[in-house]
Amino acid sequence: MGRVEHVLEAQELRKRYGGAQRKGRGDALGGVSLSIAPGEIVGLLGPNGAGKSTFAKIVCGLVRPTSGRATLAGHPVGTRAAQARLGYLAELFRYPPWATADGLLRNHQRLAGSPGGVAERRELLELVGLGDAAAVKVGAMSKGMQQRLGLAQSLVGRPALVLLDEPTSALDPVGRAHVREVLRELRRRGQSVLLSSHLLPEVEQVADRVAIIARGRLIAEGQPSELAGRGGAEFELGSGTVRRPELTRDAIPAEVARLAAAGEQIYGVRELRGTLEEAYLRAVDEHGGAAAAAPGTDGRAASGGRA
Amino acid sequence: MSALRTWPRDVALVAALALAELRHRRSLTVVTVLTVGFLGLYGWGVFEVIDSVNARARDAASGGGGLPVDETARGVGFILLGIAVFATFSLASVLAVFTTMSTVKGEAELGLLQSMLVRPIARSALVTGRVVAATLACFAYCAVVISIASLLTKSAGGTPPGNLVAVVLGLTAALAIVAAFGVLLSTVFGTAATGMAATMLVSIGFFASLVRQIGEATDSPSVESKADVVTHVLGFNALYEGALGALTSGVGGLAGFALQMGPFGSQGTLDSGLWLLAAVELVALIGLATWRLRRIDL
Repeated sequence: MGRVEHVLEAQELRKRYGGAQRKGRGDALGGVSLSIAPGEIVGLLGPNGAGKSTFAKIVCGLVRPTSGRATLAGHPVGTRAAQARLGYLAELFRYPPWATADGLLRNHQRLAGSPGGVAERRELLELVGLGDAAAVKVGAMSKGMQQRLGLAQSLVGRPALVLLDEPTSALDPVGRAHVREVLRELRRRGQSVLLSSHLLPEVEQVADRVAIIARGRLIAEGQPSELAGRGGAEFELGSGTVRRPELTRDAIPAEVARLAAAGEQIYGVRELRGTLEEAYLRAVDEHGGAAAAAPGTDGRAASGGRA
Repeated sequence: MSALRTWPRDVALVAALALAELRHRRSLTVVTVLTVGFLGLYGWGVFEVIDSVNARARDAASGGGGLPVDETARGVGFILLGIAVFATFSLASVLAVFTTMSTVKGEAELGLLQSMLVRPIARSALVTGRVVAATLACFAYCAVVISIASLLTKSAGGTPPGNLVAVVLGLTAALAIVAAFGVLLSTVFGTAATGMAATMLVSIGFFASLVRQIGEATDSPSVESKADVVTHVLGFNALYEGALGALTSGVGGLAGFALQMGPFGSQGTLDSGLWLLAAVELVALIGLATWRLRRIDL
């Protein structure tokens, strides 16, 4: 098979769970199309119950779509060929408590048919920061260590697409930064990542592209900076702080000159940028999903720098 | 590599992982403790009973009446061994049920199953591997327990049956079907409900055997035939009865009569028809479980 343009190609995926119609509920997924290029990190965002997990599970072959089509590396999802190119870390996962980190990876090498052997296991444990924990049993690990091990497990066999569902939910800030580095390393290797998360600042820092799902539909898609948009500028003047949200970056020097010419004392200028969180809340609100949209944002409300 | 070529390897891998999991489960400890307790009681009981029966038979023989001492000990030994087969099947069915009752929905609820299902492993291999693991565990269990029970019976003066291999194979096949029922039920119910349903199925099998004995005793062909249908639909019960039959095949006289009236159910024959029925039933159960596993959303 030749090189495929997209690692994941999902077209009009629709899912209606049994009984949903009877209970008057709509589709869990209402025709979502999404593609991921090799080496691309795509963040999948949305409120609880929006359809993110359903989409991810269809890609993993754990849920059958009611209609639509999806291929992974050119193979229909759920087939043996597609599964061989997939790595997956579920949001709710559990590994046998008696298994060691090394033993668990060895089992997954067998299941995935990976010929990587000891070298691959050692490399993966090093990559996720568990190089010294190869002999530690899962039952003796903290939740954060287990999540790192889960991440290593998802990378066994060097999959073309790694699907991570809330991979940093149990990690401290250092652990999260480490995972971001791992994701960037995957991008360098040409492996694609579909990252489903509620932690918008995390996604914003690492994703090449973001897809927002609400009520089973794809409501926004693009680069985080595109979605976030501009936020104008803020001036610290002698007379007080003035915000000018309509200003573009290019227009700031002219405004500074105008204020100076008008005799204002200028102590500081900040270029304001919109955040992904703001864009997310706006998009979800516009599509009637605001009530359910309560993302666990633990980051900043705004970002910016001295102009 | 084609799926057909890798299927046996996948089944073996799933079975090996399931057996590794079983080694670390507390339920195995429970079964082991219960079994040691059973064998201890069995050993004590078989020596006591055969000594007591022999003493009475000798007394009766010295008075010129009763049955020959050897025949009496032989008959009692077979009856006790029949009870051992019943107990082994009961305990091993617990093992088969506990090994399989969480296979699908139970493990999916815990988040254990998904990481395996996203691997390139056929769902039929997953189902078959779990049944194979339970069957291997039950085979080892039955072989060890029946062998020890037989040795204890022989040491106490009873005569061990000559066809222990058929007994163990019959029980193992019966337990493979119990395990397949467990896996199939686990695609529908959670762990606890599956455990209860599978255990109840085993109990229904025993009940069918008893009903057939009642039918025989009351000369009611209708009752007998209905019990027979239930026994064969629940193929494990027909195999269990076949194993009991293998225990006493060729045993005549008092021993044979006593065993026919034994307290542990009717007896059958492990003939080719029964083996074929068991194979068809096993394949059908595995096929149904695979079909269910392919259709459910996890």
